[in-house]
Amino acid sequence: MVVAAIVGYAGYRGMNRAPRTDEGATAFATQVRLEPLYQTAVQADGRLRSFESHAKTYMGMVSGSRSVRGQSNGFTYLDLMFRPEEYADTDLIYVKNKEVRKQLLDALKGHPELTTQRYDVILVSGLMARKFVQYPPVAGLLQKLGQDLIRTSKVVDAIQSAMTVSDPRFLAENLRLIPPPSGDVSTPWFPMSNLVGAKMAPQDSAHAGMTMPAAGVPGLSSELSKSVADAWTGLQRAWKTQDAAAVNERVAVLANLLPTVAPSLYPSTGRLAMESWYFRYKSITWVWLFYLAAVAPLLMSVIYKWDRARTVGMVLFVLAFLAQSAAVGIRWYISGRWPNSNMFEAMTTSAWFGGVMALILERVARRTPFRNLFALGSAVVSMAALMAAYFLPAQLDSAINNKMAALNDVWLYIHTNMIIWSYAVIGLACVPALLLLRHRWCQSWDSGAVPRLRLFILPIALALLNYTGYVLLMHAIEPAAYSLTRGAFVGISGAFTGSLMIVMLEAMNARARRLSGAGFERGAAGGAAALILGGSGSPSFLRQERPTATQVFDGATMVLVELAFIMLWTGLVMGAIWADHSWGRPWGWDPKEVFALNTFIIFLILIHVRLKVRDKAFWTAVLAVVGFEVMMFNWIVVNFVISGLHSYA
Amino acid sequence: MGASMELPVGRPLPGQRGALRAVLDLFSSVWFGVFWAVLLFIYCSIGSAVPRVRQLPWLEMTEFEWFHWWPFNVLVSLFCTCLIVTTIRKIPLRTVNLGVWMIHTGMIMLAVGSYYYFGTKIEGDAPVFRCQVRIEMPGLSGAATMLAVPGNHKVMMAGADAWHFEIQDTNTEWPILSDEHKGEKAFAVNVSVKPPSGEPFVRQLLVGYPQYTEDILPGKGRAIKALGRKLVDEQLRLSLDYEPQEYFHVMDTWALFVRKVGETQWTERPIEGLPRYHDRVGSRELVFTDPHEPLRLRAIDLPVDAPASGDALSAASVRVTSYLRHAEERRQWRDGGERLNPVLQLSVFAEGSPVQSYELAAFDPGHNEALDGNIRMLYVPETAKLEQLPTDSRAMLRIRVPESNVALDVPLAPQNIGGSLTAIEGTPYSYRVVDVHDGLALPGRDAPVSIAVAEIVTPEATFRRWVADQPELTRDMREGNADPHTVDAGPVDRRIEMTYQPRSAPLIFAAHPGGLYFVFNGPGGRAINRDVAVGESLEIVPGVSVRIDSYLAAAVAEVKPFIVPPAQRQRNAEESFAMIRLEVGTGQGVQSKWVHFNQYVFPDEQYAYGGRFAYSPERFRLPDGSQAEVVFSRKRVKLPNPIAMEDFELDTHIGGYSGSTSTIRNYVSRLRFLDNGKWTEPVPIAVNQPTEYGGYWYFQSMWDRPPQSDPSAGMNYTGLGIGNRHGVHAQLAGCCISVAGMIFAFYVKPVLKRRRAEEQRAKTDRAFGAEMVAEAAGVGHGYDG
Repeated sequence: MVVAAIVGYAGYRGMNRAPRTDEGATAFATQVRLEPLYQTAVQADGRLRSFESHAKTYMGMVSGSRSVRGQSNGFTYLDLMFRPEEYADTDLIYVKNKEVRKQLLDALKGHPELTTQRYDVILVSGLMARKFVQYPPVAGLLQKLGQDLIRTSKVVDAIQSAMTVSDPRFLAENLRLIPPPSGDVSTPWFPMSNLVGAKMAPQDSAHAGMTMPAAGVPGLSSELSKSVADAWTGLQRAWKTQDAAAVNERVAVLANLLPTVAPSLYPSTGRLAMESWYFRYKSITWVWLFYLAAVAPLLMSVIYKWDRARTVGMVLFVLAFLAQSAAVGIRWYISGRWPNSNMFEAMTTSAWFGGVMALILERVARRTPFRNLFALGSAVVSMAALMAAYFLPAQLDSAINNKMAALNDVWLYIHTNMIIWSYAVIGLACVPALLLLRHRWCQSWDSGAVPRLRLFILPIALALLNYTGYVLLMHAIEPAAYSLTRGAFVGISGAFTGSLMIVMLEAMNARARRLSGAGFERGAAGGAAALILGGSGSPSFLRQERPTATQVFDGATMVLVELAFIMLWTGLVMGAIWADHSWGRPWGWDPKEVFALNTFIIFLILIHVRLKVRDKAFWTAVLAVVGFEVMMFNWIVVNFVISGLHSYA
Repeated sequence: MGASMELPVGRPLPGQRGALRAVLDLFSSVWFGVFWAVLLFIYCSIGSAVPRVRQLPWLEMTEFEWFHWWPFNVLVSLFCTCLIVTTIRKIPLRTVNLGVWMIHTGMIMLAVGSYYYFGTKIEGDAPVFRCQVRIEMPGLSGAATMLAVPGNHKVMMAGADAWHFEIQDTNTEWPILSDEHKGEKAFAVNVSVKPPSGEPFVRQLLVGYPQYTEDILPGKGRAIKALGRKLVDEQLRLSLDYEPQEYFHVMDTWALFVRKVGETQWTERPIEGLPRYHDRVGSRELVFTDPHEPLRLRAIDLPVDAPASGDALSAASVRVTSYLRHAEERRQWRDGGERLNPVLQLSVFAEGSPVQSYELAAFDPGHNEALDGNIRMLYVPETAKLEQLPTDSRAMLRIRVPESNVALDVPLAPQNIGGSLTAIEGTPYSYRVVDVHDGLALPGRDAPVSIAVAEIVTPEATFRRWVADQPELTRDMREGNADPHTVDAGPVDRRIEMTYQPRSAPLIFAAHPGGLYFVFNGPGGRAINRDVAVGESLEIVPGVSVRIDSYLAAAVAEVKPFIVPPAQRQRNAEESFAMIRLEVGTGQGVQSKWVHFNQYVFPDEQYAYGGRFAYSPERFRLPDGSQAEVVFSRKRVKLPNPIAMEDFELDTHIGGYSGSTSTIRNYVSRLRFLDNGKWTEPVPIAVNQPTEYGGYWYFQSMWDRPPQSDPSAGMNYTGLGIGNRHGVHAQLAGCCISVAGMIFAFYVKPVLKRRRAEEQRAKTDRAFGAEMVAEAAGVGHGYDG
């Protein structure tokens, strides 16, 4: 029932995202059926992609992930190309950075058409009309912002490329629909303007109405050439007159004709349809909802040992994993390569690897108290990763592109997959570690060993410590881009120092009260050894009637930490082997490398600290969380801020 | 890691505690090892995430230098010492502990291997050009060569016998048309040849197909068709040859290269101790700075010593006195020169657009116009002549026919050029304007010439007149005489006088001995003409005004490096825009000059390849009257085997190369190595596919990207990464051992222990009974027992 509800909800959301049901679209937009074009291939950026996927990529460059007038990307693409004049006043160009958005709006204030209401709409949506971008004060400001290479030039570049892409001539020239009849792989495909003389855009006064002669498509029979050209001009005419029926007819004709030009080159309609479907449904990132559904019962089963929740949770988890596997598989199929060469793919594939690891471990530990903990960890990690992909499409671009030449190597698969897999396992390990820390906290709360107010403040101080630490770190890394005013700097430093002192004080107090020592149980054994020895006659806690929560969480954390330790180290070594023959040195002290090594050092410290401390479970959990934070720092901050040689993943 | 708690070895007995013992105990403490690991973590984090620290003025370190600095080496050494001492003293070498031993041994091997690897590492890069053109001609002993990159120019012989050669273009995909190789594609080099006499022609050379060398005559096509023979001049022999690269430059180093002007070989002087990230300037006079960027004055004085073998500057003292990380040369004006040189700075204000500032120099043809030619600056030597400045900005043809007292001023808009004949009213003549050429550069004349070509019909004849803006150049072209440059152009028909006034700027600033005069010819004719002063704002049309910011009558240009503010620096520019100030002291005084950084030191400017590479040597006078030139670059290493490029290929995705790198699957250079005077067979080098030759590894790293407009151009050179790699095998072995150790420690050891516990239990079961089991296996709590 729950499954049905989730599937129903996801389907509802999916339908909502489908192009034709959104409000704001015109009657014409709702009547036009572009489905045949979804199975039509376009050659661009060294790939053959479906028209819908092509439109998504280009419209994404124009409007980010925002939908223009609630239309589908394919519709907007054609509409912009055929009737650019209709978009003169439409807010179209996406300005990603909020700070830049505000500055541009300030520069725009003199514009007669900028009402307060429009101002607010632009500020929230980030979309601006082309004419606003071209308004002289705005253009002047953009020029100035473009010179600041540290803070704003990237945003300005994105705006300029949005302006270029939204030009109807660019859209037409890059809609390469006609395959070379010769069937030659390295010949570029042809845009329709090779068959139909293209009219210059009306906004160019010098060339208004001039028709460029059609260059023709070499090797294309005149008969086929004529029918394609006729269909295209017909489509163009029908579109301009808003004749949906005629448009639908021509679209169908075109979709049938184009593959016949070079059948050997044309990709299968199944693949193209799949690609369109995949992108229309947000790259299937909504599977996070499935994981969300699995998290609740799994948590119940772990905490309350409730058998029914156990069954429901595992079933939901397996279903979510299958759905995610399908997403990975579909992406693999439509891109023709294993998805691990950009940030989106690394993130989602890593989460999937986490699922694989969880299933293996669940199988191995099916008769132990560890069961469901791995699935829970994986569900949380996958949910977080897919949510990031779902809610931050601008940061995690799901467009499929060819991988860089430097990545074309078998070691890409070996090294990268090993590393992202180890990252997923580190993420998994963080979940039982956090559960253990929460358990500790609850025990202190219940026992009343510490005044409750102080106990209440502790997590707040920890959160503050993390946040302010992050802000200060970013400021130290790139003072220009993460500038702080004097007051803010003092405030943040104060909050950082204050929360740090609270945390330290509590740690010392805990030591004095032997809270973390004799007062509480000590999880000593853990990891694979516990599992292996647990099977023997030895007195492992796994053989006990009722192992304590600390023992279980600590044991599961250690199983994962050991795996992460080996996998991360192996991944690093593999990266060094690849770098040795790709860049000429196994180790280049690139930030990405150094922070992977740093993550490893944290786990190395964890393993040795565990040997010496009395409260093994607690310190293991703390260091597992620290290791996870260093890993995330590597993935996010190093990638987006301190990008080095690994900037592509 | 090990059984430190349980084993008595580490625990000293009373009275035995010597100093050595204490140190050993300290080093066998796990906490001590953890301490070093934490320090290592902090060190790595700072070096990597906060580059500003290693870039501090007193450190000036690259990433590589930070991670090879002595504190890092000390840290790693102490960590390793800890590892060794603890392992030997506290972890007994038994089967169960094999894993720990392997991990620790592997780590030590890795550290030692890395120390050796990085200690012997030499790493750098070099461009390898595709080919050179050999020129052989009668009257010339031996062959001359020129690098085959577009735009390259060479003159052979002197004076009236001069031959001009220019590489017109190169083509990576020239389809061969001749019989047996038809359909194949070759790399083509087109050399335009201008012989001292006769028609110029283009000689086409194909790599690998010398038999297909042929000439092409401009406008006439292939020589074989036009002349019946393949070559216009059989005596002139052009051929293609390899362009070997003998050196590579070492990354993150500095060096000065010196030679006498005229020599071909450079002598290297390494520069040690030069900063990298921060500017070092001793005086504000030396540079221009952004007003918002503070400049901290810090001078350096770094001697650059000559090598033992000496060089062109051996007798002089050479020192680096300033260093700039990222600067560009700028010209600014100041007043007070001895020579007349009017320079005007003005700002244009237009409602709704940002202020635009311009700088106009009357005597500099490249800088005397602004705003697409709408503002013009000129100098009028006699104040009286100011009245003769154009009164209309449109192009005009002035027609005078004195005999009939007719005077006509005809505006020449594009639409009335090439129209039908117009009668000159009141005369028997008619005319039409056929064409207009503005701003022609004629040999032997300083000022450009503008010409309107008019067809004139008189009752006697029809002829064309080239009406120039300078009356003495006006010519009448009779039939059979088509060239206006020849002296025998026909006499001018004096009955009809014509002068041509080309389109002029609507805004004219005329500097004259008495000041600055301003003329504005709007669409409706002359609107403003008067003297203007500095600071004055002139409203041109409502909403648009021009402000005169400064006017210098005798301006002197100051050329100095401008320190580019950090926010405007290209992020990956590295040291490409660095400059040093070099002070050369000879017996006759001291010369100081700014010298730009050049990525590579080339034999001559041909290799700059139209600006793709920097090549900017600076010259210094020597006491004997000769000159020495220097290049500021990086240290270089002679290759054991010179390399030549055979071919460069792009492996593309579907649809071919579109200008975007995402369409490229791979870059493949095919290289040959010179071994014992012979070129080896070509070896392919691609991304992820390096090759080793003579102790160095060669990696594909750069390429000559063709221009977007012409994908078959470009690819005239390839960039290689070159380096050695001693000790990688020790590193690899260490890593493999440690991985195996980890697997053993985590997964094999518990199995061994479990087996042992089971054996033990079986034994004790038999002997005593089940209650003793717990004690026997008590050691084995987890893997860490």
